[in-house]
Amino acid sequence: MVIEPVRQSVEVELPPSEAFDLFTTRISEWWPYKTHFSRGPVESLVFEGRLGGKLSEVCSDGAVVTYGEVVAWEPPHRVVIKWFVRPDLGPPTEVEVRFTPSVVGCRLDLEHRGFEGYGDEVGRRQRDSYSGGWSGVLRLFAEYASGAARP
Amino acid sequence: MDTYGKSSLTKPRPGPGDLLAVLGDPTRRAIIERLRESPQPVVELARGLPVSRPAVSQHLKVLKEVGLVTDRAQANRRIYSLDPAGLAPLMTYLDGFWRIALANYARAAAMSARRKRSAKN
Repeated sequence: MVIEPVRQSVEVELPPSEAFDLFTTRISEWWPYKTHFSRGPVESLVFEGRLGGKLSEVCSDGAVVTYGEVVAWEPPHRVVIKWFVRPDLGPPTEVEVRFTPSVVGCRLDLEHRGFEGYGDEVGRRQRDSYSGGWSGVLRLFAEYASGAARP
Repeated sequence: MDTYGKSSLTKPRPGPGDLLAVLGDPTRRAIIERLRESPQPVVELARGLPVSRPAVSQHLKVLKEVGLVTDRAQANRRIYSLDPAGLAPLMTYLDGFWRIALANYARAAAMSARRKRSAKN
């Protein structure tokens, strides 16, 4: 059983070195932590830019939640992060980000893989939540249509 | 990081299904639309709606439980307002976490590039 990884790309007007820094150590400048967090309101994010470095949320109450660990650190070309989606449900997934020079500046290719460890159903649901869950939406719709919806 | 749904560390956060179920009710949607204009107390909310004040309070309680609405005490009444973060689980469900995150990233990169250009000039 293979669950198709999430693959997304974006092109930015920055040289790869700066695009790499912005994605990693400057993550607090753009990460949607006001709306997406694991535990509660988040103050800031910390990305330790080195092999074995941690990616953590610093919560408003002072607690620190780590959900990533750098397993490949090759600035400005590539970074791979071991990604703890739901430690209570399964093993970590992996996020690989590649930075390639392009005409406008730099192309970023992201791949989030390894959802198989969660089993078919939970794995697909987790994958959908990261990728734009259109199959998830359809499943939800089917549940409602079949009367499974709560009042 | 869990992009929506239950966190093992705190009480379960609502998933997209909870939000869709709650927003399926037309009165609740009417309340949301009114709160979008301005935060207000129950009395004022109930004035323009075809349901009783206790019914509005009941709907507000449900909206608060799923995190769409927050309230605060002011003098001797409670003022209700929308919580913009409350819709995040549903938005993620429709859009996907990485799409939202990379759109933010591209915006930050554009700002960074602009700063650099204006520093040069």
